[in-house]
Amino acid sequence: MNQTEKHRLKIGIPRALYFYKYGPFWTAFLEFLNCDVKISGPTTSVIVEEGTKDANSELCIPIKIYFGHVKNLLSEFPDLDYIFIPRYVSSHKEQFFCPKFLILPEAVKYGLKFDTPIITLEINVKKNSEHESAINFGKILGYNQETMIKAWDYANQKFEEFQDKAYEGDYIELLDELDTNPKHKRKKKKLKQFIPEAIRGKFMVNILVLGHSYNVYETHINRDLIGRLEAMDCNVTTIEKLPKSEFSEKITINEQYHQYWQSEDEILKTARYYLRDGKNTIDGVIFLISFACGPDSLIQEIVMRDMKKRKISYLDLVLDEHSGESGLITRIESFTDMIRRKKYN
Amino acid sequence: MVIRVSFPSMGWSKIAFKGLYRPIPGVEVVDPPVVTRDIVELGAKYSPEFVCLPFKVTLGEFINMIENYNCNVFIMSIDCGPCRLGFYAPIQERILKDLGYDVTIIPIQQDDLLDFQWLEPFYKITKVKGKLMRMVDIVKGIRFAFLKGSFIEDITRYEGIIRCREINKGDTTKTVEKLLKILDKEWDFQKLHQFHKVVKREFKKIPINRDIEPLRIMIAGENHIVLEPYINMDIVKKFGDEGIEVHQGNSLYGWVMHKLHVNFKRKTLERIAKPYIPMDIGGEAIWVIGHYIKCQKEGFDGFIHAYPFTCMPEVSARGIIEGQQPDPFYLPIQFYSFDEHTGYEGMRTRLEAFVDLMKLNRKNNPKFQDNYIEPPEIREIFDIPEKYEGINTFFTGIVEPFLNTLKILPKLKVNKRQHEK
Ligand code: SF4
Ligand code: SF4
Repeated sequence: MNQTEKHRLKIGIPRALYFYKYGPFWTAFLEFLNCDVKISGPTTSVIVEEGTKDANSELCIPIKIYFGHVKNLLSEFPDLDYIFIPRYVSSHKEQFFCPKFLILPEAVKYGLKFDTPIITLEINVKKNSEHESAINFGKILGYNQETMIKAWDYANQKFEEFQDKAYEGDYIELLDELDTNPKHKRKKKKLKQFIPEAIRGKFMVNILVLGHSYNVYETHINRDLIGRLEAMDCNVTTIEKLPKSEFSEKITINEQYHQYWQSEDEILKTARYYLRDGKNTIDGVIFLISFACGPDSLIQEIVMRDMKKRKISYLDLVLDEHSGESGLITRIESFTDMIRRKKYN
Repeated sequence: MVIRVSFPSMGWSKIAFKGLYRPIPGVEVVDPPVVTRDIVELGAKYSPEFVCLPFKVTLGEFINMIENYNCNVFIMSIDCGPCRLGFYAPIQERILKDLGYDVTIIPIQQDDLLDFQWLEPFYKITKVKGKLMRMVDIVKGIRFAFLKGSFIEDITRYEGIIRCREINKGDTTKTVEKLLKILDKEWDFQKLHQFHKVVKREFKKIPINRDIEPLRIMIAGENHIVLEPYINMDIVKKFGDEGIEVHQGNSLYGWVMHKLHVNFKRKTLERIAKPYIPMDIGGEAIWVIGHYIKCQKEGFDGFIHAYPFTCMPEVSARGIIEGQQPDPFYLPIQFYSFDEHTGYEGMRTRLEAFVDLMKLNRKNNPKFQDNYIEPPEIREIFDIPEKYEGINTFFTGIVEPFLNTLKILPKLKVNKRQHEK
């Protein structure tokens, strides 16, 4: 279907997986092309349940949630022209994304049955340059090369602006701003304050939260981890708060193996930064892992061993659809307590 | 000094690996012991909890060999493709070193065998000087590996097809074990080139019932799981004993050929699977879908997909197959996901139910009737007299390995030159 003056294409984006990273890019890209972008609402238990129902139980929870969001989009906006499902193969010559990203469009198309067509932006720099990807995408919508290159550059610029803002501001709020749909506005939940009034703010601890963006900023599945940590008097650092220069140097494992997972690259680089230069700025590390996540299962082992060696407190939290809220709170509470005792005694 | 070297066994594939490394001077190949429950448990104990089963099994094998076989140099293939395999070696090395073992893991790059990075380890393990000799030895090793690999494939292929027809239970298993034992000990090229005759001769001795039209299934899935009979509960045998003709989608030989870009069977399967999985996403996902579609077309009665619990590519493939059932994918399929706790008892009821389902289909469903074709292997073994195979023997036994060697030689030289720089 082509974009015409009269009909503005309505394209839906599921708010899951790399929406938490590349969302600003996609929305800017599609809006430049004069599309009407619809984003699914924030994750709810219903969405998780819907996704879990149709996805294989051995899939990782983020993919299940993605399925849920696709279904949610379809029911909320039945008149969508397309669902936007990107295919991230690699955005760096020597690296790959996790295999599940490689066939995300097919996994959704054949795993769920629905009629709305899928539109795919394929990022694979092993085969095409980024501009070529944009041009291929434009062919489906009937745009010429020039426009597509412009759209790409525009989106890139917006993406960088977003990252700069996120460096200072609240990442979750900034992401929410991408969706102007008033129905999707989130109410700020009041979280229980764990620290007694009298000593609040006096015994702060610094926590680094590692993990994929779709785990760290997905407040439903991680039960608002960042907010809760803050309510426990923690200064929370995430990957996005690291100076960009830290991400340029290549990473190897045991000196001789090269690291080829893009999704894990930032995690390892952040970990490395805090093992070296930033060593004294954090008191503990929390790694958010999705159950059944392949890359995490191995990277977590490296990070854990490294942290242990340097005697930095480390906690891994495995997220799945069954994990209860109270269990999670107890674990982070005792973790932060332990760190606090160590630090201020 | 002689270096003791070993590798993960991966079922019978160890015979081919042994062939590959034995001719290298200064190397003593340690035969990896058969995988057992203890080895798997040992590996699982020290592995990350959520890692896939092959990681745990190979780690267990390493620890076992360090502890009991006085061997601490291991060769392990890695694949920096999208899946976890490329991280096996570094993380296992890390775990072993943290346990206090002095161990060296030599990675073999198997991304693309035509770029010849995989030759590096040969130069690393052998310290013997005299460059020409080394090259000759390497070529020798490669020839052994190719020949033995192809015979392992033949033997296991015949096994699946003959067992359901055997009249005396157990004949096939005995023959297979005997043949593999001979193959393992055979180091004479002349004899190896004629080995397919031995294979056929031995299988021909098994009395079979040729009139039956058994149910046909294909077993495919993640390589390590499908090729390691201890891990997969010897599923090939289990189905064979139920009187089912088993075809196998995996073989080491086929995999290596694929990595050398000359496995045209796999290329066809990729083409079939393309609408569902457009690229290699690691594991066997794309070929599993290809096999599945092909088997459905050829009128098979069932399909078995075996993989390690939470294996990323295979689970993705499973999701696609399940989503497309029963239309257009109507071929019955059963999934087996293996982890260190899997035991046969849990599998038995499912396996039997599947057999019943297939039998019922044969009886009532026209889609599964009258499409049985006797596999050509039966004719190959029982009908074609040996002497007519002259040209065939000449080709598969002499010309092909020779050409393979020739193809590889010039690149070896280039590689060596680069290496010397
Ligand atoms: S990286 Fe992990 S969590 Fe993300 S899609 Fe892949 S397996 Fe799932
Ligand atoms: S293909 Fe499966 S078993 Fe192999 S490394 Fe990947 S996840 Fe593990």
